[in-house]
Amino acid sequence: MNKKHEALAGWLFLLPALTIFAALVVLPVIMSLLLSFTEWNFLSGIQGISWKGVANFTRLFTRDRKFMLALTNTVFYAFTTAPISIAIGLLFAFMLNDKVYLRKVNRMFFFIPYICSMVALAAVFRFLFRVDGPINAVAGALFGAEPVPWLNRTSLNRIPVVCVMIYAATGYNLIVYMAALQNVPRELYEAAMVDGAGPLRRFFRITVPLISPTTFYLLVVRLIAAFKAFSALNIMGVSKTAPSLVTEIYSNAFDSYKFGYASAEAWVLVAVILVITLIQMVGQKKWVHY
Amino acid sequence: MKKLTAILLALVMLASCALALAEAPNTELTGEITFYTAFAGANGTDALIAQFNELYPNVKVNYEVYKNSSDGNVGLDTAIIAGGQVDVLLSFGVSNTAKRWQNGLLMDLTDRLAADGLDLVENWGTDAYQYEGRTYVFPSGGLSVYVAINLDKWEAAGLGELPTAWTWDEYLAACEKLTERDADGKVLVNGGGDFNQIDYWTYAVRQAKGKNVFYNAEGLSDFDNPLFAQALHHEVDAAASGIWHSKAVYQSDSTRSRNLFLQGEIATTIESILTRYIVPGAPTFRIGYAPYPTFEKDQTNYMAGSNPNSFIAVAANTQSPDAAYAFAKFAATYGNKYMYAAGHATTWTGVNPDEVLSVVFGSEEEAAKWVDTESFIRCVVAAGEPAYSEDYIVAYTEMQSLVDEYTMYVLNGEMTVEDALAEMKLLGDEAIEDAR
Amino acid sequence: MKRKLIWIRTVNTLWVTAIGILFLMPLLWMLSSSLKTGPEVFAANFRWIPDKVQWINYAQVWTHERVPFWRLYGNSLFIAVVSTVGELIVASMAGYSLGKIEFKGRNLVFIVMLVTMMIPAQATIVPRFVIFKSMGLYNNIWALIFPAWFNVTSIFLLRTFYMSLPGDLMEAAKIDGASYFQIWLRIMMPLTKPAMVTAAVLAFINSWNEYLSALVFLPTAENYTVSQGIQYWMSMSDDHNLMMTAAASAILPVIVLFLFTQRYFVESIATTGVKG
Repeated sequence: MNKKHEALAGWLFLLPALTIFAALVVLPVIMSLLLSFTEWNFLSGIQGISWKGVANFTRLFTRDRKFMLALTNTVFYAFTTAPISIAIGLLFAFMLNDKVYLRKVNRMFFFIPYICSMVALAAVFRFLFRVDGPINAVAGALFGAEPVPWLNRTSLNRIPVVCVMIYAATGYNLIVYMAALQNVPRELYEAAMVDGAGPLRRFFRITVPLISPTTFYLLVVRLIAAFKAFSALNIMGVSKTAPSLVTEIYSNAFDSYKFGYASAEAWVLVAVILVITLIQMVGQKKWVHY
Repeated sequence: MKKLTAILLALVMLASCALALAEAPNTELTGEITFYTAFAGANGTDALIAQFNELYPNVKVNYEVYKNSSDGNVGLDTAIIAGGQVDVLLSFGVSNTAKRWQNGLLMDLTDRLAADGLDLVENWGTDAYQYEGRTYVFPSGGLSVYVAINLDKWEAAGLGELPTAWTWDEYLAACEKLTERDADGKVLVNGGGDFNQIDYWTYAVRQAKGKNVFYNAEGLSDFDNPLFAQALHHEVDAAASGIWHSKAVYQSDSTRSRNLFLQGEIATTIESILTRYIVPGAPTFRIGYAPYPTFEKDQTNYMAGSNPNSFIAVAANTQSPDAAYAFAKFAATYGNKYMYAAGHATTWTGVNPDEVLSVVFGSEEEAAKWVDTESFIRCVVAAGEPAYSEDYIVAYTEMQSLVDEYTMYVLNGEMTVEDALAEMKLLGDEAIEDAR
Repeated sequence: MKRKLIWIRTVNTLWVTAIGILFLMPLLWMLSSSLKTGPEVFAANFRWIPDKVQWINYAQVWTHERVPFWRLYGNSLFIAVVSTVGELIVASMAGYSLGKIEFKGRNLVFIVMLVTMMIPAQATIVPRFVIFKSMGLYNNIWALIFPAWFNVTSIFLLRTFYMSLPGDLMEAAKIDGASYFQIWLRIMMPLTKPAMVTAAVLAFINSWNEYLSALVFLPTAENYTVSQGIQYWMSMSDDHNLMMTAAASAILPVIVLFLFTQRYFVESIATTGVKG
């Protein structure tokens, strides 16, 4: 009786979460999976869905130049923003962890961009990178550099995007690292100093290995976040020239109403994120020095 | 005698045409409808509804302003499907509009048009916009593409009378004369420029072809047509020599040709929706107009008239079909002059140019302060001039995005005109074959 | 020795602060541009403070005819607050159930939830559009609120926290005849305050910064969020100054709010981020 009662209570407490989970997570996932094997323009209603088998996927990888560009770009975004923002975050965290005053104020300076919406930051960066914008102006004044057409040259379009993503992410990495650095025992440094190890050596021999779990965690978080890049590209007006997977999904679904095809693209995104997560699971056991 | 008969005949025809359209105030028709448009009340929509209500006082018209972008169009389509929200709509672009009629979102107007004796060609210059032999839209919203000219600079350069027809060579030569440089040769004022939208160079090809710009006779992509290369070369060369404002810069800086023009930073510009911005922009000079240039002398200029660009349609599931049709018909004819208040144009052949001046500027006298009214009527209102049209739209969205993408590569100097067009041809054909 | 330490600290502080301020330059540039006239923004003779400060820019952006920022803020705040509160209630109940009540199948449920965490919301935007359309939630701000009520991270966080709470509290209350609901509401939930604050902060940031869903599900101007307001200015206007005013209007209040609640933000991120 009591057991039954307990089980009922358990399920009742879970009910709100389960309802939304079923309706807005499980159901969309199943629908999306089914749609990825169809061709469907939603204007034609349910009867307009036609089964295509794996045709969407073969087309994606054999005939769709735009999609391949989006895929390679997204990989580029992920593998530039993640390591760079993590390195900068660690560097600043290390600086702030050292002997400084105004630690909290400085921490705040670095953290502010993280709480700003990406849309607003992308708007600002779109202006910073204009031909007549401040970045070119400063580079010109300091080094006499010619203005670089960051946003007018397709091959350069990815750089402003990477910059704004790094800018927004650094604060987060910094906060996490600062917390992690607090956990590194002081005695280890002191012992190393007694042994005559310089600051660089201390950093690479003690700090880096000890905070490697954090680094690994941040790497996964940043990679996944970068694979979902959309806002920055949409606002900076480069989603046509330097598309990401999500901008491609958006434009196929809501510019061209190719709901089936867009769903197939969505599952490529899911697959990529799945791979990263699996690497995380395996890596957590092997790669990290606890 | 013969002449008299002709005049009489013409009068009868005019009268019958007018009879079919202009009905006396009709108090019997009642209903409440919602009109989806991209233009705010102040940009002509309020005035359009007010004038409609003089004829149909018992039809209440509400309006909703949507954004003609991908999210805005998804919103409109969803609202139509949901039912009860949209009765009449102003639908932009052939591609979006065709999606709507192909999927049964729009009411079949064929029989109502026949009953009213409204002929598409007679009233709007074209019957190209039909689907499987039936008519779903009034092809009434136009875009006239013209060259707007800063008259102060034009006169200062001693260029004389405004041309009533000119070729690209003549226009570019005028731009050269209008370009102002400082002592070091740095360009201060560009002589001209294309409209800032990325695909506008293809309008030159439209001018010459008259129909279905992206497709050849076999229905495949036409990017290997030498006209494309010629048009894109004009664009690139004119920007490189500084006589045109660079389109690449328009894109990256998100600036618009009309603003630079109204601020006197470019002396002329190819434009299509400048009209709405003249009075608020308060230029210090008067504006003159010349027609869109042609490739060759005396070539038919399919850019001279106003090209169908937006369509008035009735939602298939409207609850008040009679009221909705009455409003759509009015908006596509007598009420269509208000398109000019939004900077667009009408293709309706019955438009009265003097009324257009009043709609845009308040009165004819007021208009004369801002623009050279004679060339405005000739090039912007452009009633009865030949116009470009489209009736073949296989893989149209793909064609459009190929143009947008590869134009950027060319403008940025990453690809030559020839390489870009060759690739567009290949990819365009591929997309068309996939779609068929 | 002590003197030398102060000296080193001061020098370190100086250059760290210099870098910190440099880091904020883009935002300061935005602020400066938001108070200029249009042509001054990219003028060759740059100044941080314009000759005549254009406060009117803010009045224009906040009372704009189609996308007034006061309304955008109203929408965004409503969405963020209701999302956060709902998410907390749902996650707290689920966390309590999964962490403190023994019943068959709870681990399976939890694992299934964790697995779906790998599927990003961006990937299911198409079916969600179809679902909301058929539910009549399209172009309705609840389309952004309901999905936010289910968040695996919060559930995970709260479940862990509940598990760390001693079981005797519950047992004692049970003997006194309290129902599971009373135990949760009166005794257990108040104890999870630190985890709730963390979850709340993260939920609020997520909701406030949501863009793709807003773009797809809220097509008409009366439902626009702050992010869409910025997009509107970036795509529909040429006024560089007003675009920056819009961006600044989106950012400044959030920074002010952050200054007062900094501790919670930092702690939340530090606790969720540090492992091992």
